[in-house]
Amino acid sequence: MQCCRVLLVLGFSSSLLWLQSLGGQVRPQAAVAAPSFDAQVKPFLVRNCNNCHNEKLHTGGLSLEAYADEASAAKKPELWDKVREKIATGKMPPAGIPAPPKADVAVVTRWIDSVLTKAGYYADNPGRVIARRLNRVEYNNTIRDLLDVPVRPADEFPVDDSGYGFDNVGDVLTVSPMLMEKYINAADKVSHLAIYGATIPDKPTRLIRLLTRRSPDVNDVADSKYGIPLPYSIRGAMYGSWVFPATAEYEFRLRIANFRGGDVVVTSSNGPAGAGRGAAGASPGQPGAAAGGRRGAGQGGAQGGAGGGRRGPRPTPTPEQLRAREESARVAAPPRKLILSVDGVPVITDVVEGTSTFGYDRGEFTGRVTVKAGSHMLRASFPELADLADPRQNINPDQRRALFVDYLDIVGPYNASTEPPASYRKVFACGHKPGQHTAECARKAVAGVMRRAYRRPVTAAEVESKYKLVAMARKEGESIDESVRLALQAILVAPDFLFHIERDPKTSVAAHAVSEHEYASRLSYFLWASMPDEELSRAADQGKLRQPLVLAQQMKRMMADAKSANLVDNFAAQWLQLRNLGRTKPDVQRFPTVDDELLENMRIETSMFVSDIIKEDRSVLDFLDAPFTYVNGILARHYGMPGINGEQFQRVTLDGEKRGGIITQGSILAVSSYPTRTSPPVRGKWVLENLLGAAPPPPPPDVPVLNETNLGKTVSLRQRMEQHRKDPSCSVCHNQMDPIGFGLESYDAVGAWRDKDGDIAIDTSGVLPNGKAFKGAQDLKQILREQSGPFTRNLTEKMLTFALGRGLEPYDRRTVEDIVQKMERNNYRFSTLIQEIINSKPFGMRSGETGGKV
Amino acid sequence: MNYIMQRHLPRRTVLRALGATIGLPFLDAMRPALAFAPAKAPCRLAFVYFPNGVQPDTWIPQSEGNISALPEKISRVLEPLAPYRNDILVLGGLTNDGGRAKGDGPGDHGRAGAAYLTGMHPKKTFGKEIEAGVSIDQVVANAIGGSTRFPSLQLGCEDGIQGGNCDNGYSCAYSNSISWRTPNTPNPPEVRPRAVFERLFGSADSDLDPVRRARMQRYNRSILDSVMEDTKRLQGTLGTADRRKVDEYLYAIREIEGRIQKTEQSNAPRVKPTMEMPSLSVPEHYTEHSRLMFDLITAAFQTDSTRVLTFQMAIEQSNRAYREIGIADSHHGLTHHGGDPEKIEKCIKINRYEAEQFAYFIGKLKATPDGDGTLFDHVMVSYGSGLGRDHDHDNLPTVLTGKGNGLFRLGRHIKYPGETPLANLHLTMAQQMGVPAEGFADATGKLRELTEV
Repeated sequence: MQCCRVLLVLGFSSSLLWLQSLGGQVRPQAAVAAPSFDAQVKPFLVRNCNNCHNEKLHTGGLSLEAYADEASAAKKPELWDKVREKIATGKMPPAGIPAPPKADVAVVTRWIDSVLTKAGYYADNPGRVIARRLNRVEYNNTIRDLLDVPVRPADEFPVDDSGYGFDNVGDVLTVSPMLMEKYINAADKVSHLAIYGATIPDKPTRLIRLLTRRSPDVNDVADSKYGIPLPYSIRGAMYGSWVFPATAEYEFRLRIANFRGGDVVVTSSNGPAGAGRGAAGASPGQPGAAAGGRRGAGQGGAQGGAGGGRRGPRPTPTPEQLRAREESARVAAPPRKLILSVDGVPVITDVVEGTSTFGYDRGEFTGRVTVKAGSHMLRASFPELADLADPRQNINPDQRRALFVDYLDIVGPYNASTEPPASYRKVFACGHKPGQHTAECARKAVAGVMRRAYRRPVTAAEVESKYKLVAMARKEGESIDESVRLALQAILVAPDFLFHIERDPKTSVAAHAVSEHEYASRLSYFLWASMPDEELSRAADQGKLRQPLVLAQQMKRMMADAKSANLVDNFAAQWLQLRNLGRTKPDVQRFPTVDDELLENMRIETSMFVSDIIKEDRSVLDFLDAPFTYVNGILARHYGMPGINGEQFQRVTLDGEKRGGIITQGSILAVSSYPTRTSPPVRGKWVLENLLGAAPPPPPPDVPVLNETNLGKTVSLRQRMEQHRKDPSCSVCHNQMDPIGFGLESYDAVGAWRDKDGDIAIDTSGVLPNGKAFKGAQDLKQILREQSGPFTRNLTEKMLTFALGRGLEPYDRRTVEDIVQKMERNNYRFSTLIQEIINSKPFGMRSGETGGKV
Repeated sequence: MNYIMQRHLPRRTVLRALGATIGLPFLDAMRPALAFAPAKAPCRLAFVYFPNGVQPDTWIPQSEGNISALPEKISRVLEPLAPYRNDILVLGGLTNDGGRAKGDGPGDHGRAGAAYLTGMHPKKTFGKEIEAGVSIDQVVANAIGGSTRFPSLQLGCEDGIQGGNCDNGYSCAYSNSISWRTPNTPNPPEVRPRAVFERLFGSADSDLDPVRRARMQRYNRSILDSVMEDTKRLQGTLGTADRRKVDEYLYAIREIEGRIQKTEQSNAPRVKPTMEMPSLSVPEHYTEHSRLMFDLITAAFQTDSTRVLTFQMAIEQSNRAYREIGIADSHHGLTHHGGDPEKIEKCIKINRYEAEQFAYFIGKLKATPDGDGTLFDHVMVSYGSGLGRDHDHDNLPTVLTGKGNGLFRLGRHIKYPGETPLANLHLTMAQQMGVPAEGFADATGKLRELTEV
């Protein structure tokens, strides 16, 4: 327990600070001789600190009595760093105890500064980024940009460990034998793809069958033997991305289930196959169950839908009766549009009419379109269902959805291009047709690929070492294509490809600027998570990259490139913990309208929002509060915003009353909640940790659990929490977290607006530790915006960590503070953050082997 | 965006690449041939880990001794193992001191995961210079791994956490992996059943003629030789920390090269899969997923592809919600129950559910022929967690199964004196595997009473 408290105190330093002024972060080096610990500091501690922080009381888990002399004290710079903040900002001694004279404080802080200086806290040290391997994202992107092959091999690699909140931190990016094996297999597969193109079926074949989850119940799983199950959508939609193996025509065959109307009787357990659960239960994809309506109507699950239970013989209807019955079924339910799109472009647009009696036996909807090799987004859905007031209107009493996409088959390829794949020309610069390259072409190809794969110029000896493989294969009788493929395979497992490697200059062990090509790599992996492109490499080749105008122009160009989505998909998604959204799903019982699709829409909202801040170069404070967001009909209904329809996301203007800024977005509100309810401390902690960089320490393990009896009925969560944290050792942290969390209580655990929690009206008022009273998210955001220092500093620290691929050290504070100040002077523009990081010492330089030590 | 990784092609689809034959995947070229057929069934070792600990009073039988003769039912959590009460050892009182705070404050999950098999106190860091210890499975793999294609395998049912602060200042690496090849290099588990299957048995169902196969082998060797040269050249130019990273790479290359050598030397017949190829998608249902992994573990042992294996039923501090058994809350969250009976009940339910899957594994081992008996006779399996009561590191839940080639006399509940190092058990099992180790981590000696009464 003791240890917990130590941390409790230390971990606190900056969290209390965030509402104070932001002075005192970077401290000047002491110019005069350091004060003496024995003569000046120790008496100060005895007078002002040790009454509580002594060996007996250990108040706050801290004893300063333990430091008897200069030598023992100087061993704990991190401790004195915290002490300094406490006394310099007047937080200690606490209220009620006389404050020491300012001059005395100045002496002690000067002594602390001398300790910190010796410990390297203020050193002019750019730091040393460790050699680190490509992470999964970088690997996929680099392979794509290097060879233009339609494949994402790293999706099959084990998940990268993360450090300091990011998965590009070298220290934890390790190489296990299993990963090596996957690198080897990937190199093999990629090199074949690059030279010969995709392996595709000899004749058009069903390449994949996509299914959707039939219900949110994990025990109700579609049999994966029949296809790939995709997430659950109450509105019956299907979505996902798939890598198309080759540029060709593909046919999409889509079947829907139409259980609208009360005419589908699902009672019989002994009925014919398919009757039990209708078409959905007929195990789509089972041989024989498929077949189409348009491609052969009246088969498959149709019987299931229309048949119902067997109830003995019925008189045969006349054709007129049949037609009349069909017509009445047709008009019994409104027509619904059905759209299948690839990357948002419709491939199938049709209308589903009537109830199942009318419509089901239409069989498959089909469409054919040419698709370029590579990853494309698929979506099949009934767009009008986005506008249902409650999505459960699409759920029948038997829990099946009335309309849903049952399966989607992708069949092909048709008329696949017989041209060599794009990658072939990326490898062979000579431009001959396959089989016509010469030995000289092979050497050129090897050299060219190496230079790009290693992200730097390569020596003749290096080229020779890989060309040897070509020569060997030629001797074995292999073609030039195959021989080059073999060299390519070796290049793709070479350490120079797999690792970001930076070399020290031979002549010096001091801090130095990284080479032009190393700098180009740093830039491109920071902004794109991929290799430098031709233009960037050329600037590095010419040694011009660091010229201010060139650099500014390159940065602008890179930020405008679609690849800069990296800052959204990888930086922001990790910073805001969006990757954890849906890892623990909201409880279906309590939130029956929340499905995978809604969570995905929340993620999209935040991504588009962040993306706009970047693209429009807005103030980073707009993250906290901005007058716009993105919603579609689905999300708008969840949020209670009127007038937004359809599945397409649209930018909407906000008055800020209920929504505006990331902390009012569903993604953040859900990721900071329990599956069953909100937790003000968890939300408060989320804000402190991720927005203000001031995470309070965790509770000790022996805290009593929150009593949930009558919660929301006779007792409010707030009242319970207040009882719960009467213990002062709890309230120290909870006074920081809880007010923020309670300020956000108008949003439930899935981000929907509410005025009541259960039967009790929500009270969003609170008082922050600095005494500032507020009410609700709007006030809270206002305060955060006004006192922007901690937010800007935290964002800068996170972005710098991500940019460097290493955790920040005390000597990085100077850089951080510089950037923060420049941002303040420049209206907090996002581009200033990026530009100043790129221009910073740690980004452009590297300490020597010994200079990196603190 | 969710990426759909797979293609579903009918098995017999004739494939063509544009204008060329299709090569056999690199590692398929040296696909599963037995290094040698062992004369006598070797001993195998598996560690099955479950996260977030357990309340000992729900786990440990009340009385010591012969489990069949216990007056009460075995225990609430272990009840699913009751049919195998004569096939297990329940051990009480084992401690993993390395997981304790020792002045490092909170972070019991991160420490528990990384300390479980290493017995070392993990260094508290968000990422810089991560350090735990070499785990016992790797100690064994280093000693005897050379006799099988895979020195060791790591399996799991849950991907590591990404982003955020995993556990109070501990990098996610600590809670994501229990197997550590070096103090700085964790071995993350493979969670996709299909990928494990393909590692064991190969992916393509085509076969090549011996001449072509031999040529492929030569190429593969040349490729590895070439990158080894690169690496050596590179190492000369790097600083210490960088060199360590490249060493990891070099080690991994060597391991694979060793595997190629082994297949070259061997004329043994190809290993045939002993189970059906799992479907491409990772099963969402935990029962299906975990049992497939247990099937794969069994297959790996049965084919003598490896003798050392770890399996993480979930990562430490797992937030998985076991909706399969009607639990919507995160497992980790529930274990901070603060005495709430409802939450405790849910924890028990989860622990029992895990035990049910483990019972399946015991049944599987007993039903799989091996040498002159069944696999069960020739394995040592430890089933347990690095956390005990309320995130403590003593009295760790530990069940052993398998006869361990005679090491374990089963059917008993043994209570060791408090503070008996878990490392004693690990050391004992390592020795049984033929590792001539005298000590491991904080072990004070062999764990007694496993064989004798």
